[in-house]
Amino acid sequence: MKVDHKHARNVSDLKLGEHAILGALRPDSLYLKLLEMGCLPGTPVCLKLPGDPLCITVGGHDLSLRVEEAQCLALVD
Amino acid sequence: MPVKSNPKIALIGNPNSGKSSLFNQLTGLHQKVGNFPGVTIEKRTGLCRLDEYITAQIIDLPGTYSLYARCAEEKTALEVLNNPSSPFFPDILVFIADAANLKRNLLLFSQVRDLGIPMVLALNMLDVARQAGISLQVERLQELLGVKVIPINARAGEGLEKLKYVLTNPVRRETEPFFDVYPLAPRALEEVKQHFALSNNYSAYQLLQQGGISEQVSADDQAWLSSVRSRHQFNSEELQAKETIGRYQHIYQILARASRQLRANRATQLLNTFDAYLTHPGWGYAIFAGLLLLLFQLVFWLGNIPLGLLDGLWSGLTTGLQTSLPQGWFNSLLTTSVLPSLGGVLLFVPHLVVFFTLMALLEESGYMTRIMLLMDKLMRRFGLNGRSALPLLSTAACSMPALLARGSCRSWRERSKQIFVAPLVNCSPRLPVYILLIGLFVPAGSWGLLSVQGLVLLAMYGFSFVAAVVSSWVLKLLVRARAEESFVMELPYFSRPYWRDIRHIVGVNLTEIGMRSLRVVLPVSAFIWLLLHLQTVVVSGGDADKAPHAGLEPGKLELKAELGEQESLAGHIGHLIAPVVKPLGFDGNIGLAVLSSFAAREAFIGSLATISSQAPEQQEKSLLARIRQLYPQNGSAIPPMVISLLVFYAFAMQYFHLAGTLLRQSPYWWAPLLQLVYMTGLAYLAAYLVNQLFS
Repeated sequence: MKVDHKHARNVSDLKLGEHAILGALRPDSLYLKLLEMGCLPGTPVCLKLPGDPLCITVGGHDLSLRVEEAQCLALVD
Repeated sequence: MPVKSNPKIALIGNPNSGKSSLFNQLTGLHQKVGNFPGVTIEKRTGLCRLDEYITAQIIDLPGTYSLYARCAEEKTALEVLNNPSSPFFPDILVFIADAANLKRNLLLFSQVRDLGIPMVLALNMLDVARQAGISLQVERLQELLGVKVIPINARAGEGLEKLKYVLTNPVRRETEPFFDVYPLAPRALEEVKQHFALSNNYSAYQLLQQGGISEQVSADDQAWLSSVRSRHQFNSEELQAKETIGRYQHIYQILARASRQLRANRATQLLNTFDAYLTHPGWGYAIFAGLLLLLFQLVFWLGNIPLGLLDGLWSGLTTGLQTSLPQGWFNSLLTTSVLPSLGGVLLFVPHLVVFFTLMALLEESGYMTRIMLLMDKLMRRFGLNGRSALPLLSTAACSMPALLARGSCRSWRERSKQIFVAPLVNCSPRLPVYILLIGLFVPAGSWGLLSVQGLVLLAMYGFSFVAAVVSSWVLKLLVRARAEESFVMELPYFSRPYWRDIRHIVGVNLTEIGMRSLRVVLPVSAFIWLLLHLQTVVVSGGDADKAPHAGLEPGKLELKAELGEQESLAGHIGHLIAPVVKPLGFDGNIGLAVLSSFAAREAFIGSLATISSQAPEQQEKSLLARIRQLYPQNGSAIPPMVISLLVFYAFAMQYFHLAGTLLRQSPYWWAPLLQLVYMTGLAYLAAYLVNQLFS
């Protein structure tokens, strides 16, 4: 089945200052680490610094990650 | 539980939560550094007098974000805490949490709490939390978490009396788990509990999760655990995710009731806007370069002020002693070797104080994390991680012994990366040596408003940075090391640096340099003096003084107070070295000093000071003038020899004073030797190229 990428936005698509809610995580090697860092489904997230690595505010603290790492974090529409 | 008269208390917490500060505050000078058995993770223990009757043994467990181990340090915490028969198994746990980051800190807290060890929560950095607009209700938190919560300030030492008082009283063991893992795998847990005679669900659950990598579980038991896992379809990853989410849900509920997010104060908001500039792909680099420029300029602007005075005083002292003490070898040793070599380092203490203070300010403010972010943008193109830039930028000591020691449980590729790349990146104390060398050899002119010395330091800094990045990139291609770990990391809030911490960093670094001067530079200089004063006398010829190349024939050695440099043993060694170092633009004297600096980089200066102090006509000059005479000067231009010398020291790996530790901790005896040969080769090559280019 093909995934419709247009509708599956992720954290790397956020604009500066945009607020959103985290959806499911893509299960891969980073999955558990991101969970431990507080990136839980349903948590509000905001893009603090754009670029690569970018910086997001999630669960009350700032987290910096690379774009490909941010792509593991899907957003809820 | 009742209080013992000498309870064992372990400190646990996330990295950077102030655990080391708390440990230092509690134990003062009564510390012991050793290793955890079986692993080469540093273990620090110390004694702390809680009250008149009770003296506790404090154990500092390695900082970790979670009980799920990713590296050896993280494993240690679980190995100790899930094994009541461990000699370090604590009677009481002190969990130290960063209040500004409580949510994340509480994840580890909740895991540790469920292991069923009595514990108290030391809540650190409340001031930082307040700055970030987080208001915490301590009483509420205490009630909801089910443990004593004591607000402390580990850096300033506030709240410690209260913490000690709480620790002298019985600490209640919580029976109700924070997060119940039993429903996740009831039947598997029952089996494990029965097999290992455990009563705690979470201990059993952790055995199922991580017993396979534990050194305390026998091979038979590991096989048994693995069969239990497959029989009950125990999916480790899925369950770990469920557990983490479940814990966080509970933490969110608690914090919603015990904390309020106020509006961040204006200063913090301003800093956040500033953050966008600091990490901007254009502005960020400009600001960083500007800051470094300013920092290095200040080192020489401020450091050079007392230089003349110190030089005069030290030379006066030396000359005074020389004339008042009776002539002889002792006088010569003291006034032409010991005092000049110590002076060579001492003259630049003001420079070093300025340097370490400013670096510590940058480190303590939280700016370095922004630099890692910035560097990642640049370095990832070379397949490197921005995090590896940190040691190049900090005052951290040479971390080679620790790095080599961690070589276990890695693939040969990662191992070769450690051996070849790490010394380029992780042995940082090059900057202090640059400061010494530049202060000595680069003429103190100015270029407009800017000091030339400061500019050279900036250039050398840039050079060693680029050299480290490029050579690790090349090596990475050669050994095809796996991509570095992820860049996911926390960006801490900016915080106001504490003078106490700055003073501590400056003190530690200066003490280290001072100790090295006494332990390494002094003996090396004395040895050079000995070489300069030993003459090889030909026994057969009778008229030894006339033999021009006496050293080439077997003869006997004779110690002389006054001796021409050419006739001494040092002169002969210099002759032997000269052809080797000539391509680098060094003469025999510099070559000898470079050779001696393999003991420690500062020894170079001690040796030069000794060599230059020998001739009687030199002894009237001040120390600086003497050393500066050793190389050809033409006005204010920087001699090519100085540049090639600086480049040599960008690579040369000179930490023989660490050799003992290295050989002891490295799993393979050949690794440090290989590093030495390879780095020296690299240094030689680079200095050769630079010398060809500039002369």
